[in-house]
Amino acid sequence: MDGSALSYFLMAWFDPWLLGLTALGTFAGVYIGAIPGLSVTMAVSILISFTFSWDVNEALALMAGVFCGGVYGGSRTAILLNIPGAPSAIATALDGFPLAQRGEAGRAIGVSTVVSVIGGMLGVLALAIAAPAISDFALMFAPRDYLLLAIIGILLVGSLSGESLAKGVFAGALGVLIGMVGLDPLTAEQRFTFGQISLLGGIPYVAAMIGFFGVAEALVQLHHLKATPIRQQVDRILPSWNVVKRYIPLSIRSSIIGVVIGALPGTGGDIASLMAYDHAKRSVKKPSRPFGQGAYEGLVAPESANNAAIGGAYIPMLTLGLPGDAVTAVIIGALFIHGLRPGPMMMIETPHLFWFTVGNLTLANLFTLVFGLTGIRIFAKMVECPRTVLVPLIVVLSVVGTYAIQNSVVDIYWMLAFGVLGYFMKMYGYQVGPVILGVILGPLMDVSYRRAMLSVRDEPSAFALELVSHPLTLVLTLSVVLLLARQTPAWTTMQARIGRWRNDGRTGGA
Amino acid sequence: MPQPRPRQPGERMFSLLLLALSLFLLYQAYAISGFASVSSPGVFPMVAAAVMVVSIAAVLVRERREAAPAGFMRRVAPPVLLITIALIVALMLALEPTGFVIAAGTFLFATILFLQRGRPVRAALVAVVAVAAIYVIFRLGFQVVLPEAEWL
Repeated sequence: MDGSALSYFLMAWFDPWLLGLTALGTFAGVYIGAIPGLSVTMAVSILISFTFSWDVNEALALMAGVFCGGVYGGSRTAILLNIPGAPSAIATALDGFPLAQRGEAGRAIGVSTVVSVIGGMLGVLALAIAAPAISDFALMFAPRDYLLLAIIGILLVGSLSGESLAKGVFAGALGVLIGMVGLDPLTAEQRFTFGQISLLGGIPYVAAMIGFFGVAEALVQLHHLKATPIRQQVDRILPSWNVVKRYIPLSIRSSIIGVVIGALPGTGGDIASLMAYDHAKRSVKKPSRPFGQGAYEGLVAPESANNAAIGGAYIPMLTLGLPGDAVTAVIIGALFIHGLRPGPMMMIETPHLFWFTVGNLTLANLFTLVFGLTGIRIFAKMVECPRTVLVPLIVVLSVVGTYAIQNSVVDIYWMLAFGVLGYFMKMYGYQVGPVILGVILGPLMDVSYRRAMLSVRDEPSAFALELVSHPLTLVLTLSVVLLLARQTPAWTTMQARIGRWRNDGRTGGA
Repeated sequence: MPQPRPRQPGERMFSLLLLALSLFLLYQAYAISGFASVSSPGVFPMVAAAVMVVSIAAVLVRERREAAPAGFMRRVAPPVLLITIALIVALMLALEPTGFVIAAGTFLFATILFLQRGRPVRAALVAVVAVAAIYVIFRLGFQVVLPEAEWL
């Protein structure tokens, strides 16, 4: 890091206004993440519209704060109420709530705060080290590589987070088509406009984001109006150094899982935390208690991983312009609005933005530590906000946010239409994350595909040859093939056979 | 690990509707530029729409034998959902004629009153505080434009 990088890094640290926004974002994020029904993706989508007239640094400072605070905040309700406040805290509830039932809620919150910050910091460190290298490397990427990476992103999120790959891919392709509406960026031909002038500019993607993440979630919450939280006694939360020290190795291992999963296009903290929990279960031989009955290890692994995934998710976003998860997909939308194109050129054209983001995320992690270890009493009150009040409030905020972008009521109709569609999709086991990924990735895939085709003079055979004749492209092509092959019945049969063969080998020798 | 989701009524109907939507979009994508060339503006939309058709067909095939329970109106689209959506539609229609403050205030009051089944004083209090807070934070603080009635 040279001198100018350091000054960009410290920009948010010494500017009181940016410092305040990061603190405010983190503080708000902890509550947004903690309140079931409010999600980080929802909050960041709505924030885009409130901050688009701001300076981009201010908008990014607030969003980084909400992102870090929110991913952490989900763990609190998971521990206290057995309701994960955010999808990335699903695994946290498995051992967090049993701890609260044993009367160790305070200590559990303390440990989860500390390991969240360790994970978050390691994620930022990985971002700071890996992104410049990947960015240099990314300059060598051809359009076909972007196309393949985007396909991998949609396949990954479709196969890992949803009920079935078919549903995930459907949602992703739907998003791609939503992103196609309007004038074609290369030839200005109309696509899916049905002769409507209002559709020439495309479907406002912020309306789609707020619809899918805000309104749809609010409507799903109508099924849980009667859920009442149980009060928990919370004692001392500051954990002792001896306790923390014991979990640092696991925390580091889980953070590495978090960074890698976060950095894969499409997959974020929710998947990272489940995988880290699984890793802890396999690797920790003598947990403090059996897993599922209040093992601290079962808390440390997912909480380190989901916060580490934040830094990880920023890596493909800042270097390739590909979202690392749903939240970074929304943040890419915010950067578009500010006239920035995330990708390898962004690091060269606006290097300050990268180091500013790194500095900001570091700061947000420090604030997470402060807000995580304090204010637990007010917290318990706020989380009890009944859903009868929460649902109408989310709707009103979604309306305000959607209207703010273009001051158009038509956008609100879009928002509601996507909200209702998103509600039914959620009810029937479709994830809405891939839709937003598709909306952001669709235009990029379209342009990449056509550039790749044009570069081989529209020869499909030459295009197919390109997919296997360059080392990097070949790796990406193989990844796509592998991801698809894993879903076929033949793969399952083969795996079963290998399993049987291995077992036979073991028993045969005995 | 998350529990497997119970099968919901109306699932097959929803998949069929999505299939119809996908086929319609595939046709529309074809209409953009047909098969003029492999890099024409319509190719990628056609691929995406075809992926939608194939994936939703796969969903239909996989779920063909699974019997879904009855009770769509009770379990998936209960009255509370339909009435809430109707209230949101009313809010949208009222935004421009009456402005944000009146429309959102009335919406919050009515929806909270409906969802909590009574306690009008509490509902009114929450509505007034929320609209005031949104106005101060977003209109005055963030300088966000809120819908305003022209006659006010």
